[in-house]
Amino acid sequence: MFGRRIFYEVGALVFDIGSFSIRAGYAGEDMPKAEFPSTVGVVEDVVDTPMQTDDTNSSQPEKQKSYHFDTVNIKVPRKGKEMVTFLKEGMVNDWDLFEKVMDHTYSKYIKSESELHPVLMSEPAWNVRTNRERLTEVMFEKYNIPAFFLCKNAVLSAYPSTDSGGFSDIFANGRSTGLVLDSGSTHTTAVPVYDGYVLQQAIVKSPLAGDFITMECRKQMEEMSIEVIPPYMIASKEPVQESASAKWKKKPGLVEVTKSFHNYMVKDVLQDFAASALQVSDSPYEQEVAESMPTVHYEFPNGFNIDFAEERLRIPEALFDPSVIKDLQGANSMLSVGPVVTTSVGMCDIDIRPSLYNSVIVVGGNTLLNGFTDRLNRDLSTKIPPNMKLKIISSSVSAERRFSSWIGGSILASLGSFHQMWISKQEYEETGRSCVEKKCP
Amino acid sequence: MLFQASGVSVQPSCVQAFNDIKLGHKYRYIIYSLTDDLREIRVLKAAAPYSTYDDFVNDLKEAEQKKECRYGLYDAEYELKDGQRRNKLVFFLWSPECAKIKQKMVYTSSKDALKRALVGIGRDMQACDHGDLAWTNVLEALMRSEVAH
Repeated sequence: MFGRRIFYEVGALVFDIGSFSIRAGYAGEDMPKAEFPSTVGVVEDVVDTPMQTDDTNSSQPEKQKSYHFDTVNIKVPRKGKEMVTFLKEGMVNDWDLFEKVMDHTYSKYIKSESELHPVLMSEPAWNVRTNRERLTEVMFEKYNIPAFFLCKNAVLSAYPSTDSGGFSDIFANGRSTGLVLDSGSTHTTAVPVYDGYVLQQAIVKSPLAGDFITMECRKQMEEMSIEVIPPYMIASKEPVQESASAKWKKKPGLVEVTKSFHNYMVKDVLQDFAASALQVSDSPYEQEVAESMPTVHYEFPNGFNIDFAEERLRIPEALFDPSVIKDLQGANSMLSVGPVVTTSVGMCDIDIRPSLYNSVIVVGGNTLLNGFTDRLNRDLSTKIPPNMKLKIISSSVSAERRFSSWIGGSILASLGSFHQMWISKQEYEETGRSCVEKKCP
Repeated sequence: MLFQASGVSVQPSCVQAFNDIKLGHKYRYIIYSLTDDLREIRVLKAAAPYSTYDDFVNDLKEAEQKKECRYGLYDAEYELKDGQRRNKLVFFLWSPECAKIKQKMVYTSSKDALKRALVGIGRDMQACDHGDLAWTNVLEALMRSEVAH
């Protein structure tokens, strides 16, 4: 009991880890202290400079890795820098890198000893036992934290942002039953929640999500023979006429960058393009309608600028109708957004289906595409049984939407009553890592 | 799974009032709320049997003005299409859209704790706007569960 008393006097930390970004901060605060990309730049430096011979063990050329974090830093071109992530399908799969990220989070943003603060962390609804146990072990053993809690992201707020992190989708929306549709960067997922319980067997996932859209944008650019030049390569540019070839100067002395770095930077441009130019059609795509849509003018970092017309609608259409995707194998077997929802609901007990359709909570960065929610509404209302009422909930305030996942965790971990929920260090030491299955079901 | 995710506890009087309504129809409805320190669920109001559904809704709307959530329990009486009379205890989670996010978090994550304490709830309603609270909507849900069972 004594062991328990100590820790909740000190502020708990909330880590919301998603495949696009990580949000970290103190429980009880309105906003996370930091949000930074889950992507890390790793440079393998071969230390062959024989100058620092002040040590005795400097005889071997040691391979050292340096790590680069944060939005600005990772975009700096460095020789041999590979862009990597420690997550796969939202779950940690590179534990060394995960520790590096945690080290960075503690030293740069938290600026306090890890052994002082309990940690509440989000996890994807489909996280597996071995992973959860290992996470518990790392947090207790390596970071020596006083208490730990893992929370399924879909259960707890309103914005697992551009990824599938983010908890509290359900709770922060004031609901304990509902279907969370999360369209992030790597996948679109439907997670049914009933009375606060994730119905694991009815989770449905599809790869048609943000990264897929970015890929389609890339294909489109290739088709239009537009070379996407990321800003890091550009020294200067001159304004040019619409559709005229760009006049820009390459930065002199650019280091040789890796393919993963270049791709990351191109993706960054394409994501901006997608956010500003794309528009989800409010009814199934028809070329005639698309061609009559107002065009959108977009200027690329190198000054090249052009109007986009029917592409604006055609690219995101694939999310709702995969058959429009050209030359993609298996496209027809991919579930589009509407069917992801209906399939998931269809796997749930018939008694609860009305309440799921009555609370479809839309979250994730990809759902910020213009017109996403309207189209979803249209597609679903034609498919659901007539005696059921459809209600789609999406937060319109983007800041709240971006962080409400984190905010949900922040609120929960700061509740006076929450102290009894934590796995204390003592409990961990007595029962071992399997305690996470019992305490955080 | 989030059984009692918040760690909030239920005051014994909550169960007592529930049993009074369940066994003796002593009240028409009960409004439950969280204590100010957000640690416990308590009985905010137990309304006399002659109270109406409108009174119940008005009490919930009052909470909405304070940007707060509530739990409600209503002793519903209704008739089936064939004229049979029914009595059912309907449990409400009232979380109006305008409520503060902290209120929403605490009420939703603590709902299970209260619901588990109240044995004999006939129907569970999640209400987030006035449409959800409308009697026709409640009745529809009650009828639907009638068909399902």
